[in-house]
Amino acid sequence: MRIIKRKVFFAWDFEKEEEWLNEMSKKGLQLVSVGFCKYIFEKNENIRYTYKVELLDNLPGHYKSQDYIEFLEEMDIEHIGSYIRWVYLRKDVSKGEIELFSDYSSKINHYKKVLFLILAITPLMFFNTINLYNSYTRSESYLMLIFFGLFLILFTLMGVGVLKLYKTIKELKEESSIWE
Amino acid sequence: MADSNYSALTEAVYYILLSLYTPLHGYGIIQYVEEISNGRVVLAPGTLYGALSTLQEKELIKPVNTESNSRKKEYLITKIGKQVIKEEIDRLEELIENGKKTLEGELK
Repeated sequence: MRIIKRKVFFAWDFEKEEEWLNEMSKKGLQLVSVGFCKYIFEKNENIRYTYKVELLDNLPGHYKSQDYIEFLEEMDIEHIGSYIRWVYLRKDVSKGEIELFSDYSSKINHYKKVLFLILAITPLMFFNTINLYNSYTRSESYLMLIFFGLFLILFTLMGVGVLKLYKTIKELKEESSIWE
Repeated sequence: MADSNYSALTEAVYYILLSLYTPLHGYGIIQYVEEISNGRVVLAPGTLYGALSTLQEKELIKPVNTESNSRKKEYLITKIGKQVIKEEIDRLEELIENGKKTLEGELK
């Protein structure tokens, strides 16, 4: 039996997304496929998985990504689906823990990748917000005002997300200047 | 890695290089390192994959052709890699020696 759930997670909240997927797995809902804000689960209470969401350098079809995914599969980590450069991975709990990074530099590297992804779309978001505001002042249409409001909220959330990531990276860097 | 005299290896890289004095594939490296460190160092796949790519690029390790039709890639340490390990051991010995001397009160 397949169950589809729709839910929004922002890129900087990928760890919350993982927690949610793990919670769902405990309840017997095993993620088997993903789409845009869409999660497809299969009901199975006889197994439990831990999930990881990773942002790759390339699209999943790229040979470098394929090589990496094969490498993970050797270690009982299954690739169940992707969304753009994000891959969804899982491991049967009975086969051990799933941890993708075991040192500061690789952890920092992954957070940085997520940060750059967000920073890359910031200008686009900014100009869209300004454009919507201009459209509203010209047309005085309430629809434009609503769009402008939505973009403004999204833009603010992105800002908070960037700060959060920045803080995490800074803390990890401080640790890594003393410990390995 | 010509400047290896000036920099220390990370613990992960040091142990990866040690594990590759005989050919091993990814999972084999993780198991070997966990074993010789008595379970203290457990390499995560993402970290190991990144390290293997970089070490290959720097020619400290090389892939070896496995006889069977196994898809699993195996790696082996190179001559440069062995040189790096030797220098690292000298460096570590210096660290240990100075640490011990300080504790014994010979140095301040």
